[in-house]
Amino acid sequence: MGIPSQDDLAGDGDKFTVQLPNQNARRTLISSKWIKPGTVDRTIRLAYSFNERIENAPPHAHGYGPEPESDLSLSLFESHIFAESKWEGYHGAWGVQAESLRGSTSGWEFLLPNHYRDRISVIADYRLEKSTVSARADLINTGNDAYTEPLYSIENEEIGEDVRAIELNTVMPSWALSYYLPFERKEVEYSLTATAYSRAPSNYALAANGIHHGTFRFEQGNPELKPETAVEARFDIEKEAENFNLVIQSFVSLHKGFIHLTPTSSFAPIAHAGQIYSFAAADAFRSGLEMTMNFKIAKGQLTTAASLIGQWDLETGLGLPFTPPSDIINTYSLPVNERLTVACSHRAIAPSYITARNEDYTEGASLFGLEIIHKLEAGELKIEADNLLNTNWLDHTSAYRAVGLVAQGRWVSVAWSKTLNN
Amino acid sequence: MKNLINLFAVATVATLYSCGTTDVVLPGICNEEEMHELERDAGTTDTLIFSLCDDVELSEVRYDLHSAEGHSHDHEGEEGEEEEHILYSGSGWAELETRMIEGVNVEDTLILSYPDSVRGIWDLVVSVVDEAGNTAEDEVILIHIENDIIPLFTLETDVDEVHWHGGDVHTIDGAVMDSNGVSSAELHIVRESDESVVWSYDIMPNGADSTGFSVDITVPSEEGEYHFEMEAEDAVGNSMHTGFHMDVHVD
Repeated sequence: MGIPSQDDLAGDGDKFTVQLPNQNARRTLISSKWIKPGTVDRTIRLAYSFNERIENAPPHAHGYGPEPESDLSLSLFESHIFAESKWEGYHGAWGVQAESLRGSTSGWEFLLPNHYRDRISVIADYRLEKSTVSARADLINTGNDAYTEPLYSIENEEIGEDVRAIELNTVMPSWALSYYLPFERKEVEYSLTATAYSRAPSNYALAANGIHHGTFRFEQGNPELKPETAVEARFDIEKEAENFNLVIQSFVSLHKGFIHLTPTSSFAPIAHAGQIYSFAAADAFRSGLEMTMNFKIAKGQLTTAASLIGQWDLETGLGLPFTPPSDIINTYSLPVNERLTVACSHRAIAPSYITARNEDYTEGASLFGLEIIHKLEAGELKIEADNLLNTNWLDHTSAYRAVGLVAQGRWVSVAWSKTLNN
Repeated sequence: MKNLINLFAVATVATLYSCGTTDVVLPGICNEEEMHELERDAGTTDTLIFSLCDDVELSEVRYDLHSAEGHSHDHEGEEGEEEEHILYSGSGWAELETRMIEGVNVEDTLILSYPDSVRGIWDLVVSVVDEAGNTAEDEVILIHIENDIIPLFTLETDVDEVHWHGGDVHTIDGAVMDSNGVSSAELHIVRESDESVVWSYDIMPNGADSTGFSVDITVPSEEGEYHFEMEAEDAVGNSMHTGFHMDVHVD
């Protein structure tokens, strides 16, 4: 479902002027910041942004019924206003935030109708002698319009109404408490952050309903969702030495009512749309570690970056969807002269040992890369090649994995940058 | 600090140890005789019995029957196998039915009535989900539907993937036949963008059981997607409609 046929991919003669499908996206952001220094610094931030996305595609009907008359598959316009006023003194800071989002959708394949989300928050942090305590309290008002479409029989006769979304308006609180403690032992810097927080469900998690053409699934929101709560601990280590540095960042978190998308025991009401995936809340445990090491070896530098993540649904013992497999990237960077640097890299990706329900096991992969940086008078030229051996590999975290499509093959990027100094 | 780290380690181990367990065994079709391909006649009724099974509890079965024209499911056909081009008729015929089922072993009966107007291959996709949400890979059954009721077109020209150049001339060789005699038969080229007929040809079978034809067509000079349509009606009023897709390019 949602996968174009070979004919659709063949284009219409000129690879640079494919008429359909196409996407136009615009984003505009205007932000301002006003500071009045004093014993207590006063800061005011204001921002306005809008996102517009228009997607056109060959008309097709989901299920039965006439084909749409327009090529417009999705039009999404979201405007967003943000305001913050903050007072910051020697011992800490406090402030208030407000934001408002208005989203409108049209076309024949959107999953979320016109929606809105308003938030007001109070934030504060207080510096103790060696640590910092922070708090945040939010009130969120969120909802969406109702939306219905005609319902057609298999003979393409109108037989009723297909209720795609019911009107929703809900107010829910959200909060966070955090304690941050940095300290040093034997020239190694440590920091510990303990946080307890809640997270309100998104508009999408509350009210989406339909075929998601990016994930190839029928996704359904759950208006009964409540904010999830979590306790989390982060522990970081940083060591600097003459020819060596090390940064380790780790976390463990325990979630009550973790909001995620999970397969249900029902099929979608639309032909070829598979099983319904619905947003659900389940207790979950997540843990992860990222590590970066740099060694100076001869004239060059060896950088090793590794990541390890585990996340489980505690009610089933299965992994959470799209848990990324562990990976390690080794890069040796060698300056040939003052202007030219060559870097070779290798990325090893482990098999996906942690999988969710109906998620396929993915083999590991081994990918080589090359980067050349040439500093010129006119700027910096960077040539980067990834997946140098054009290896066929599956990206476990990609939606394309579900339909067995391999990830990006060999690709080369050429970038030029120039820093303008006045 | 050391105590704190130890506390987190113990909490982590305790949390993982307390993980629940769940049903991860996939439900499926457990018929003793596998049904990968069936051969049926138009105008008949078929009773298919599926034995559905799961280790804990079944939830739903879905039967999705649709024409195989224009797409393929992953495991159809043997690799390297030369597939014969099929001229479909009545491709719009489809059935979609989702049924709730209970138990661990369920015999479910599907009755299919093949209309008089269909000819070609239909995919019957059977999907099963259990109460936990596990789904096995869909079972795809190919139903070859023969049809002695409506007229039949056969083509000697290869029209499997037609990518023709605008303005070129191609010859279409074939025949139209029906045991009752063919009263009318026409060929058309239809431009898909506005559904307008850009070329037509009357075969004039004059009631003969079988009429051969060899027609030179000039490919439309305008680039785009077209459909080559073949229509016929027999002496007792049974009509049919088939054709193939044409992709026309202009350099």
